[in-house]
Amino acid sequence: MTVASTILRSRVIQKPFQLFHYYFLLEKPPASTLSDLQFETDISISLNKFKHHNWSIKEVCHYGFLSSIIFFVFIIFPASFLIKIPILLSFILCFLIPLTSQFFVHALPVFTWLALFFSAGKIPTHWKPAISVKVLPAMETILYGDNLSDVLATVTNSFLDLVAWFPYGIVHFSAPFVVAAFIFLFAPPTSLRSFGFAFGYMNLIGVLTQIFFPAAAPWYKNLYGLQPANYSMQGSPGGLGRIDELFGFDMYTTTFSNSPVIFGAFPSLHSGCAIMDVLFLCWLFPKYKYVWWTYGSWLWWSTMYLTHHYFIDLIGGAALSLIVFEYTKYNHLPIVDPAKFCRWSYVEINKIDIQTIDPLSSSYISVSDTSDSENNLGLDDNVTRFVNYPYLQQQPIFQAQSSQSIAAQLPVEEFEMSSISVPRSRQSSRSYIAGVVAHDDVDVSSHEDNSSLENSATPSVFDDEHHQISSTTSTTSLEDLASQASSLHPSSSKKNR
Amino acid sequence: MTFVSNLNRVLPQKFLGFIPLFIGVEIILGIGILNKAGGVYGILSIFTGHPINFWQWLYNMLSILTLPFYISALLNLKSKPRNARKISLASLIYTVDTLVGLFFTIYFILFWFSVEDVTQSSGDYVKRALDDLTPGSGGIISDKLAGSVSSTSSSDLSSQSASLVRELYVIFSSTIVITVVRIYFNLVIISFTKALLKQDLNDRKYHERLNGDDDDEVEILSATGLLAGVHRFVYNLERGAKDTLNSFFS
Repeated sequence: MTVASTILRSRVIQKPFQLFHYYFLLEKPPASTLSDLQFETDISISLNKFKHHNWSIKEVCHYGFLSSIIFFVFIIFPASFLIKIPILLSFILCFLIPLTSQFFVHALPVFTWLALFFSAGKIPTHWKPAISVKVLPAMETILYGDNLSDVLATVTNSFLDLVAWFPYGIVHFSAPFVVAAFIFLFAPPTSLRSFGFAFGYMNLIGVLTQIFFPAAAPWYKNLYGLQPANYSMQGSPGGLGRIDELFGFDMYTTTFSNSPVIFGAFPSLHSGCAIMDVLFLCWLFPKYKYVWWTYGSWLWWSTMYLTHHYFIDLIGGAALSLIVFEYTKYNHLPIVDPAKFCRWSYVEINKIDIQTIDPLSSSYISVSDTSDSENNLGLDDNVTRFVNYPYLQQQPIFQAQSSQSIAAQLPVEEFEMSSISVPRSRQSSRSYIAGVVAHDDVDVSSHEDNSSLENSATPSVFDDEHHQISSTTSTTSLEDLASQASSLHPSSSKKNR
Repeated sequence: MTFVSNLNRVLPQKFLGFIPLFIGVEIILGIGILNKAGGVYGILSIFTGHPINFWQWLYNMLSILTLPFYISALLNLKSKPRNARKISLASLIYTVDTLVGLFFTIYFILFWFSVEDVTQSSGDYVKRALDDLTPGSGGIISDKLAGSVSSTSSSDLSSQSASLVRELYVIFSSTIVITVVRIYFNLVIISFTKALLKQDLNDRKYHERLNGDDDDEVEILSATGLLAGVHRFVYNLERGAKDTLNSFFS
């Protein structure tokens, strides 16, 4: 105890904690529990929620799909059941303990992807489809005029090898963790689960595609031409083999030679992961969108230069990421408020109201010119549009009104960012929080979330309490859009007030 | 007139039948931008020395030229009123791009099968065709390439690779599906543009604020310098595209 106490009181521990407390935790309004994490370890809490949970069709599909893949992996993985069962039980235990379940439940798509990816090599060969060798280079030439990997890998040297290796061999593997950390710290609460959902599903769909449509990468064509392939062949590190030679030790050769999915060229999950990182970073920090897209372009070049993928693979991965991100954005992701500094600054969570950002809708709310500089390739300009809502909600006159009625009563300009210039800073955020706290009648904590499964990124049976998610603007199901589009009424009927 | 009324009949009112058009256009332009980035990588052959012919060079240049217009349209997709002219130009370019793309697709199919495939296969066609016909003999090549796995029979290894017929089927069916999807995407963009222009006309009619041209006009037309000249040129293109489509749909 004494040693532990000494360590905890040491400057090395105390100083970072003080800084973290000063810069982040002090942002939190006293009455708000929105950003809180769960520290309970009582399994009965989760079991109780599980028993009383009303399962929606979406949830059944979500958990059913992921469970069936995990079951498949459990069956095919060539290990004794005496080993597999305890591992599975520990995994289940992590889902039952509230402390761990808050992460594990939402990371389930990621775990499922990893389980399937690392077990893919164990799938019996006679179950696997035939390997395509010509399809990708042919489609690349037909759609893009040439084999772009050949174009970029015509000239190789040590300098270019290092330039290519850095994003492909180093940044790629660490970037998702960094992005997740940024999202946890700076995005509204519940955003990280959306990232887990999008990242996991994108990779899972990608690996399933690779298994059902096995295809050879450019390195194969360089080694064997367009000769037939088979599953007994070993993989190749491609251009990364030169990095191993340069540094004098085996970093990639063995790993890529024994990859679980050797003929998994399409789609490129390097591209998919990078573009997913880029899209989330642009969503969170739109000001630096050129930096994020530069990284994406750089990784694309590296991937082709190192002969790991054709350009069509990159497009496949990137398009998959874009589609999954769009789905996540319009269904699950909360809106980033540029006036808020970090996770702990938020006192409520707003979702995108598609009616107010649809330029063809009568409920459309104009966006100001200033938002252009904040856009992330146009994918989240609703950010600026919605920054006004918390301020509007401080005024009792707006409390009981729908967004449509507000828009009807006020000039459009009053909704524009230019009229309420709020820099994204701790100072402004604190000022606002102070204002909110002063207005007891605008106590957002009273907005209990009775449908967190609808609002959460990954439907979860374990998290339906203590999140104050405002559904003022939530029209989040694409399935609902058809009926809503034909209606002139906005989603105000869905208000949980 | 008949063409317009026929076109109106096939224009989708929702993306994929249930998603708002603007989300569809957002995805379509996003994928379009990612695709057109290929031109940037392709043109790098100038530096790498990879040989390309005139048509490949032209294709890459056209991709690069269309890229900024798609980006601009996506950036302004939800920014009224300027999105009307931005999307109009992107819509016209997308349509021309689709038509030109069809010709390039046909040319590159011929290019692949007459130059690339023949060169890289170097007689492999005959061998693989024979392999397809006589399973059991085709695994010899595979065994040599793989370093051989003695426990696996050569016929098993041969069957693990897609046959020539299967590869050709996938290549042609994928090309057809992608072309059909591209035409559908084009219709979605046209449908969105049409609705946007109609709304823009109504806005101008009923809202005094929008009676003139959009917010950018004064700033763009009064600016000086080379960049301003480019902006002015693009602005005029956008206005022209908008007027053209307005008269086309009216």
